Amino acid sequence: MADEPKQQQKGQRHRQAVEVRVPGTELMLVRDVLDNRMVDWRRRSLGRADGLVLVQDGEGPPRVACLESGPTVLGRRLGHRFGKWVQRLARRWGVRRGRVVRIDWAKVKSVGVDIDLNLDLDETEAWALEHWMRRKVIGRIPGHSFKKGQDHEKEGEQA
Amino acid sequence: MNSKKYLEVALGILTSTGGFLEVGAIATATQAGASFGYQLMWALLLGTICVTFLVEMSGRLAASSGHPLPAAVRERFGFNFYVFPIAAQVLVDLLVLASEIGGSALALQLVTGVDYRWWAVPVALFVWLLLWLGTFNVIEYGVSILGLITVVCIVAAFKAHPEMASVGKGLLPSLPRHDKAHYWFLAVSMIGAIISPYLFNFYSSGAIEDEWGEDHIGVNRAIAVIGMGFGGLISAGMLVAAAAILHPRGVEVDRYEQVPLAITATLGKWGFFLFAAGLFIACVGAAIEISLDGAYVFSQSFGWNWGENAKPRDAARFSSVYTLMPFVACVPMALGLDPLAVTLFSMAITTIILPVIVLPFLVLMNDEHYVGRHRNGFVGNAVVFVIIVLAAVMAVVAIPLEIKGGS
Repeated sequence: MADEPKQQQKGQRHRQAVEVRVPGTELMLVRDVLDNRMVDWRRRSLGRADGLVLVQDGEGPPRVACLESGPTVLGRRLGHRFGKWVQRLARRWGVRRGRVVRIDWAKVKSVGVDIDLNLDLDETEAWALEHWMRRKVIGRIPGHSFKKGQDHEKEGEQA
Repeated sequence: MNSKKYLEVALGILTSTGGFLEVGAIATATQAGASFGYQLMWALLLGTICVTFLVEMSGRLAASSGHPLPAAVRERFGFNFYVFPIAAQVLVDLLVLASEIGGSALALQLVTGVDYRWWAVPVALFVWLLLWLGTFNVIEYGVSILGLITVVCIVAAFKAHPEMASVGKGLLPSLPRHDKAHYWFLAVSMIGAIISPYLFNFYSSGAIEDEWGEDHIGVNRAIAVIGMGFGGLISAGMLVAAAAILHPRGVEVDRYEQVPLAITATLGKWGFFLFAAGLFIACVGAAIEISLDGAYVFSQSFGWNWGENAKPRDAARFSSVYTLMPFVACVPMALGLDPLAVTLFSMAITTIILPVIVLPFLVLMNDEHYVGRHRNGFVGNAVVFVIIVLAAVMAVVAIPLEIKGGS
């Protein structure tokens, strides 16, 4: 039928992104924020929101201070002792020396299928392992740039 | 549908058929045919129906939400649930990958006469090279078009002049007359071989790689139904050929080298070479898909940048996973572990983790945040529920059967 409204645009998703800066916005932290992917302004992935940090300043309810990401945070979620063990390993061998990637809540723009952040990936340490692998391992194997394509984000970092 | 869509469907069907066919499906179908004639056809049919529904759902999830299956499971269920099935799945992936490498190495042994152990490392290197240099489309279409050789199995089945009445009767489940434990062990392994968990992650990640959107819901359904059905048909060809040729002669297949006997009896020398080529391509194709699946799972779990179309250096963490996987998995084969034993063992382990892999489908495919108006209907939900119950029963009996009925 000719006058039928145009099909939903390709790429349009069902979960409407919630603009978190709008006053009165309700967010389900565990359901909608925790474990979602965080992307920077160019839609490059910083990793997943592995943890949430709440702080209590003064009276009133606590507020969300930051999002955390990193193996140490994940380890802690599985158990106190396991977390300690992961942290020791990360301090000794990790490329970030066990530091956790912390994203200030003020940088969070909207929460939808992904968590959109108002920052650039390169301001953070999120890709420490990526850069290390690239420098020390992948970049040393011949043919590492043979393919022409890019990753599906279309915004793969050009070094 | 326009012609571009038709091409997309055709290529997708080839790809999903390629994903369906791997050493486990071929080996268990041959064993079943040799030991029990046509009696186990029903297990093949049941497995194919289950996998068709689940593959269609994982494609629909990716097309409608833009999220591949592992990512959606972690977001919806949280890390603490997610970590266990996914860790188990990576282990199973490695086991199945080892048996696929073993299968390709055996295909080379069949043709060259050189022991499969020597082929394990070269095969791993070959798999890695294809992943390292090829883009997603080159790999999926290349492997699946070459994989058409496996149609030789269907030809062999017809050449063996099977009694169609018995074939039809085998489609209805029946109780075994002899070797009860072995019968049920084969039924469970066949279903475990067909419902491979890696297929769902791989298929839904592939939908993202191919940039599927909501306009692909119909394409996805056609691909899942025809592709899986075609894969099931080829496995059925193997089973029928084995049932018609090996079963009357009392040949029990307990070594991979016996598998081509079902083909060579009717098709002779050229059938033998076509079978070896088909086995090699099917196994290499599956090895590629499993290695990629490992990379997809890690990347999506931790939110790394990923994509098989990316230059390896632009997705360094992603490409290091698929680099590591084949080389780790080829070790047991190079050390001379029996490929058939590894295959059957990995099928049994697959059935154990299957319930937790399938359970999320019931929730995700009804979550409007993800699939919107493309939710499961009553039939879809009923099928997933039945699969979960079936998988739970199989998970309980898998190991006792492996001990009692695994030859």
